[in-house]
Amino acid sequence: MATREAGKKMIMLKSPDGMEFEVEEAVAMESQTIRKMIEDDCADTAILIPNINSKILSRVIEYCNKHVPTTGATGAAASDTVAPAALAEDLKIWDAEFIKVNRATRFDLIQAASYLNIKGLLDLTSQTTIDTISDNSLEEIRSFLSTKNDYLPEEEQTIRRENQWAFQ
Amino acid sequence: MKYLPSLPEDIWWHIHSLMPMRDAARAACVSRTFMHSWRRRTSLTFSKKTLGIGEDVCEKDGKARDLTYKVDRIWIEHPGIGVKEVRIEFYDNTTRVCFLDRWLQIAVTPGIEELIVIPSVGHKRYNFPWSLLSEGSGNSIRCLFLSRCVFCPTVGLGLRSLTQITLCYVHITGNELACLLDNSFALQQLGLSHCSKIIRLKIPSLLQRLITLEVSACKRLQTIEIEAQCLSKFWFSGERLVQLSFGEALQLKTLDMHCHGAVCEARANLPSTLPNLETLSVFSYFETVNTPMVGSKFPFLKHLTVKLAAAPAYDYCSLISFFDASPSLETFFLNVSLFTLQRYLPFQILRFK
Repeated sequence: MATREAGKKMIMLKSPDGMEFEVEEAVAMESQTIRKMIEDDCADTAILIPNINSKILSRVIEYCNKHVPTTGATGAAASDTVAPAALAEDLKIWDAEFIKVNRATRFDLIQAASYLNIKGLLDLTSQTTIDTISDNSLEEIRSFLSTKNDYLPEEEQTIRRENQWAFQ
Repeated sequence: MKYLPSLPEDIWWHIHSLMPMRDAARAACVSRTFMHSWRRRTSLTFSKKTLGIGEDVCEKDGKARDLTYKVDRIWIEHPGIGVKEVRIEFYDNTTRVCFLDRWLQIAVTPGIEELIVIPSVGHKRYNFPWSLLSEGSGNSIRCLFLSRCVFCPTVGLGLRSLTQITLCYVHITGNELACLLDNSFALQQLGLSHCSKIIRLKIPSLLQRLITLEVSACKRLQTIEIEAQCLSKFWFSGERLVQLSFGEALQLKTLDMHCHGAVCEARANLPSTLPNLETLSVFSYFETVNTPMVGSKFPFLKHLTVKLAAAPAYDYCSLISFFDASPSLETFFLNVSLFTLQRYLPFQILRFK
């Protein structure tokens, strides 16, 4: 496995479009999926990340870089320590900027976060989607989510009646 | 229309599960995917806030009653499978009993982890169907919060996963509480507030993981026996002192005691029963007896807070007795309220380190 100065272990991530990203092991392990691969010793050479193109993968790495717990003087990841309030506030502001992307990118990020099992990123992208569609009409929500109304007319009437309280 | 990358169903379910109740119910009308997700929602919260009714709508209001019927429809359509967290904070007093019974029957199934039932602001208490917890559902429940209920189990419930329980204004006797806690070996936090039927409270040594115990305003309580060895924080509040007895191996480190005569009691009796105390807060809003000068000590006491309002003849200098007893003391807060003709003067706060 590649190593760089300061003794930090490096991991090579490969996107299906052939791009390679060298990242610190601690950063890559923000993804529970990759963490498992590393812990199971399946990460000797480059790890191919299927279905996530280089543009999205680079954004995911950017997110993990920002969110990896700060390392102590010994270089050991202090993953269990709680970030101080100021750091948490800084992250919140950073997240808000990070997620200012178009819908297609956000959906790609959701899918990447889900596949790579990065809870923070999945929560961030999901919550932003929820905030966007909150208070919208059904048609607006369908249009935003790019989903079709697959109800039969009488079914739709029934479910609307059932959930009428939520529209009052 | 240009279609976006379609997300797998499980991602939509995840997003839908994060939506607040009202938004989630609306989204159920968007497509079948969301409807299926709505039917299998694992976290259900019914309160004025989540149902979108104003704080000013009272239980006699027809609006609240209409809503009860609508919420009931949700429960009838919900299969109850996979429900993990249920919070019912509902105010329709006239119809609540039969509906609550039905909702709990649907909700309390094997797999439920958190159950919060705050049925009414009225005086009438809801008879909680405790037997629901004895039929398999009890194996998974971790957090139980009941308010304004009657809870009368007659057999041990064996809630093996229970870690946290809070009972407020619950009609339950000491024996019934023992049934509720029977075999709850995982219990870490126990809170009892305004449970006025408990006279004798026994915390058995079997509760080996119990860390925090809070007992407040249980007005008929006479004795508390604590034998759970790992208990490290005990918070007691009541009008008057109760008889406290502690098991020999108890490692209690933090004690908060709020009642008449708490200061004198703490100094006179705690050093011998709780020698490991590190943090002690005593609050007495009517202290009549001077703090006694006795020989016993708190060898490890580091932090002491005394708040008191005392009779006119009370000698505040008697508090010095605590200093003699506490060789490890690091901080001492004194908060004194002076009564003059039943009027409060501003609190005088002394602090030294």
